[in-house]
Amino acid sequence: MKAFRGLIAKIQEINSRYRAPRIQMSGAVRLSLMALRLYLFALVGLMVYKFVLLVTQG
Amino acid sequence: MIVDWLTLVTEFVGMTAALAIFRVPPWITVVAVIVLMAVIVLHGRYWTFEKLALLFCALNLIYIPAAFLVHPSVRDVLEQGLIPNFAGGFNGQLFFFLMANIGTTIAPWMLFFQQSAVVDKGMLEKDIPWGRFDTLLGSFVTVVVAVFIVIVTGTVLSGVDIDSAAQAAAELMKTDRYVGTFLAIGLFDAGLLGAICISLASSWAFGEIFGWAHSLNTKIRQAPWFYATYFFTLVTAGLIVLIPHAPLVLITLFVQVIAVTLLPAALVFLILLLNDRAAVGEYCNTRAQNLIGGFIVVSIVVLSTLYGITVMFPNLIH
Repeated sequence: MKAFRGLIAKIQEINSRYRAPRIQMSGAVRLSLMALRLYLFALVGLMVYKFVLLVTQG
Repeated sequence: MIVDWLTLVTEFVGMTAALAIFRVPPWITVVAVIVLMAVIVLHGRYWTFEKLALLFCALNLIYIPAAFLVHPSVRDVLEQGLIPNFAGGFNGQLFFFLMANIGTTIAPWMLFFQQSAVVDKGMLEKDIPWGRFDTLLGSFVTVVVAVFIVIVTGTVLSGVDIDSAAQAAAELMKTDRYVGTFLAIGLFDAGLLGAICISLASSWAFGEIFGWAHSLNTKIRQAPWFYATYFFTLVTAGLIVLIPHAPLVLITLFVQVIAVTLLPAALVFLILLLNDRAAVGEYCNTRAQNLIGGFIVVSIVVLSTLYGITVMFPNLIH
């Protein structure tokens, strides 16, 4: 339990360290990047769905 | 990290399939590979690893003599190799295989591997031109080897329904024992090389993020977490391959496709970093480099989108 709490604390520390991006980006670029990431994850979701479909259908 | 690990699973799929052609049971392949990789990382320094990796790279050239053994028709190579020919038309399967092909050639782990390898190797600013030459040469040789693989398989297996590289090697064994053996050795070698690099890329990345010591030049006592993550990813990926009746070929293809779908997320950050003059100074990207990088990102996103559309509406694109 102690090790688990330590891991959570470490992850929080890492997240706070990288909260502000080191690369200079305007708000529009940051927003576009977030949109791109969400879009790519949606596509990956579709691919996982297709994979499950193929496996279950044999 | 998940995609890295999944790609590592596919490398084990390739290696076990390649040695299965020589009737080696998968569990022996997995154990032997893990032991070999342990020896490589535990009994050496970065330079030892790099020399061994270069040796494995050189072994991939085995496809070149294999291509000459099958006596391909030069006319067929030029006609069918240079002129795009989509016999089935533009459909989901074509987009899927195009993406899987891109995914086998360039994947997110390669970006992380290269930056960590440059650091572990101890390269300095003066080494940048050689680093660029190294990357350019590697890219060129990769394409040359890929061309020869296509020539071998396209010549001997034209019209044969093939599901995997291992099946291709097994079919080639029936036609020409030497060519089949070459292809199987090449497949195992590619899997081994990929496995070494991917597991290292993951361990380096974990070390960098968590602030652990992460170098091949350190001993286990100096960098325990670096080696622990290395072996954890390696062993778990190897165990997946041993699951009975797992759809390994399907897993391999889908992992490559998912890897290439997520690639733009990493590539865009790389392009942004290469345009940050404060960080890279005089090595900032030129307009032509940005155009090429942008074109690659857009092409991958368009291709992924087209495949996504065919998943949602299977009858829309024929």
